[in-house]
Amino acid sequence: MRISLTVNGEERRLEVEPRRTLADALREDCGLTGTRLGCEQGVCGACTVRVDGAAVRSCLMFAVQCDGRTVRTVEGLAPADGTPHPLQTAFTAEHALQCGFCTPGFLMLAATALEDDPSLVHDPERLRELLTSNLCRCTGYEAIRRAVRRAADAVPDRDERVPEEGGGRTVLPPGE
Amino acid sequence: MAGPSAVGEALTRVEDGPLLSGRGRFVADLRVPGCAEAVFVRSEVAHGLVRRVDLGAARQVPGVLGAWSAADLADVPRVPAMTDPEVTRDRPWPALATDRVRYAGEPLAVVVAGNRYLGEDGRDAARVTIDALPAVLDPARAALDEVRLFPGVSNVAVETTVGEPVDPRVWDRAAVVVEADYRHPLLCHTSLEARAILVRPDSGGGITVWCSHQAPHRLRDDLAGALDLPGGRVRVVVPDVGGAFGGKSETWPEYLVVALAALRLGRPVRWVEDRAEALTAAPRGRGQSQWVRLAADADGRFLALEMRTDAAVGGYPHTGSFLPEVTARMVCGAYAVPLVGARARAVLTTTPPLCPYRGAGRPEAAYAVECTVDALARRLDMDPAEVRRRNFVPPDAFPYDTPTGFRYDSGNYAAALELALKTADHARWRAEQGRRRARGGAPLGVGVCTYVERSGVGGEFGAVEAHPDGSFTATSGCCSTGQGHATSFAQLSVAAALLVEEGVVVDARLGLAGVAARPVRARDAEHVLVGRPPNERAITAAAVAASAYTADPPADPHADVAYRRHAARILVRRALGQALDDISDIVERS
Repeated sequence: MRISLTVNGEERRLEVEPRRTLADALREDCGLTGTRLGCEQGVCGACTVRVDGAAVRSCLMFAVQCDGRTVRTVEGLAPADGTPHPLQTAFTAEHALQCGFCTPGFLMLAATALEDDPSLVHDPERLRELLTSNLCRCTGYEAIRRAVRRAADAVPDRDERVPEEGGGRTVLPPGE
Repeated sequence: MAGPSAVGEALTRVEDGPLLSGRGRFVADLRVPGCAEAVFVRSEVAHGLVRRVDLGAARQVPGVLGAWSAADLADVPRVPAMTDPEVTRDRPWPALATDRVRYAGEPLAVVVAGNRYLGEDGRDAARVTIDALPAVLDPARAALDEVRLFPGVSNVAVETTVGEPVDPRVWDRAAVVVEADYRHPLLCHTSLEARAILVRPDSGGGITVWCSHQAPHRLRDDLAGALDLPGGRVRVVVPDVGGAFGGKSETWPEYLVVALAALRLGRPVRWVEDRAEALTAAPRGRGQSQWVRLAADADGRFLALEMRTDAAVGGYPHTGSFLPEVTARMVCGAYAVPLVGARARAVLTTTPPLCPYRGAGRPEAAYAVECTVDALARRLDMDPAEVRRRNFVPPDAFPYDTPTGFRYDSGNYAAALELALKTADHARWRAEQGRRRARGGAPLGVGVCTYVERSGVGGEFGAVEAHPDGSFTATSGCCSTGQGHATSFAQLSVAAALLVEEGVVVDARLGLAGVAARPVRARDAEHVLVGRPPNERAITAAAVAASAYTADPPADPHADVAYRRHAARILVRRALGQALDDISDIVERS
């Protein structure tokens, strides 16, 4: 099938089988290999991209579903002037990546969430919930959490405190 | 950590830029012209006799370039042993199953096509007939040999005893004895990037291999040994690696088959393992069943320790076969235990082959001994930290030879524990726990665990070259799987050159990188060497001088000032020692 979509601001005309995933179309047909395949079943989030402004798992979407739509990948995250996106700066400053395989997915997930609602980072539960969308096996999630907050220019919040009585979910080290 | 100095800012990694912008290059990202994709036909049963692997329909699928089972190959290569060859002699692992399968997911055939979609079409067209045999999953049960994986050969591939059997009277007379069983389930390594390899035949008869790997030199040697490449070279390149955790340090059957397919087709072939394969067919970690018994006096001082551990090493004995012995030898942990006896068995089971996983047998030991120490503390109603304090190998006992045959070179375990307790504010958590127990609230668990790591096993290539412009090139055979070696290895390097005439050093050059704000020549140390015979005393004096010369080493999150001085002294000694050895070699040859 012939489809046409806009990827990182550039119009792409592709001839794809109906069964071809968006991830494979981006990686193989557009040469944008920054979008990674970790599980191909919608669990790990490494393949997260933006489609019409929403964060989606590109392994769970067919390319033909994106006909006429706008896609942004990690290659198009930084502005055209070459300066890094605040999330890219924050991820390296906070050591929020080691092997880097999952990183593009986290970046696209967080970029979308911050654009939708930057106040997200002031709510530890919502931020935690967001980051549980994706899997990382190297860094643990603390550095990623700090990086997203740094990118949003967030101030330290109530997450750092010793849990209040009965607040069993938030168990973090004491010692403020 | 020391405070900031001249270049004391937190370092950012040189690896990050490409990885953050989508320019990282993992094996699946490589663009090699003409590259085909391999897909494996795998066994769906854990144990059985292979009656038929029919690839006729698979070969007819449009886009399929070739398909091979063991029957199509004159000589199916064996998976390199990576354990005692005696163990694998009667238990060979063919890269494609021949007459029998011994784990679900075992490769039966490979289909190569223009892309993965077509390759999977071909795989789905393959017809396989296997007569199922009973599966054996539990290693202790498998050790009974009721069901043998290799007819006429025991499932117990390796049995090792360490230490000495403990006199039964010790257990009878001890104030307290605790014992327990522990089960470490088999687990998947689950690196976000699963296994991946790309093999390109080269014009000279050799191959270039890109592989997501931890030990490329061994992979090179294994491929060269297993493949018939008259006069051809094997070159292995490791691009970015998306995690490994022990599961990528071996030469797996799929790698051999992909290389064979590439050579047969005369074009590049890639295999990118998908998650379904990684969670079923890929080698496993852990998989031990342990029994531990610990005796102590009334004050909690250990008297004797016994362990028996059986590891489920899977359908073929591989790197997992030495892990239970590692566990047994580490069973003392950080403790001075007078009497220790342990037995370790590597037992075949109809599960994917076992290989190292994050700690390679050592965490398995720590889990067993630490849980048992906790059980003892509960029995004696003692603070678990105090029981540990009373039993640590004391600082003045190093170097300490364990009853299991290992030597611990140095340590101050009690001080380390105190630091950890203080850092974690252990007392405060204990108080909080007591408060909740008295007044209610979410339950709070507080755990203490110690761990001794046996490290420095094996060898690794490394070199530093000093250039006339003052820059250095550091070369390392140690392969990054995401840790940031390119950043950290540039932190501290030493290069040495000595000119010796008539038994006296007439010129010396000593370059240090990472000990000061920029690479320096340690001229004080050079002066110490010149005019003296190049012997041990001169080297020691030079090392001390070089260390003192590093007056203003940078501190950063990776290493503080004291560590850098210490490391500089050691590295200078080694570099000069190496230079001296080279000189001796030259003298001997001339």
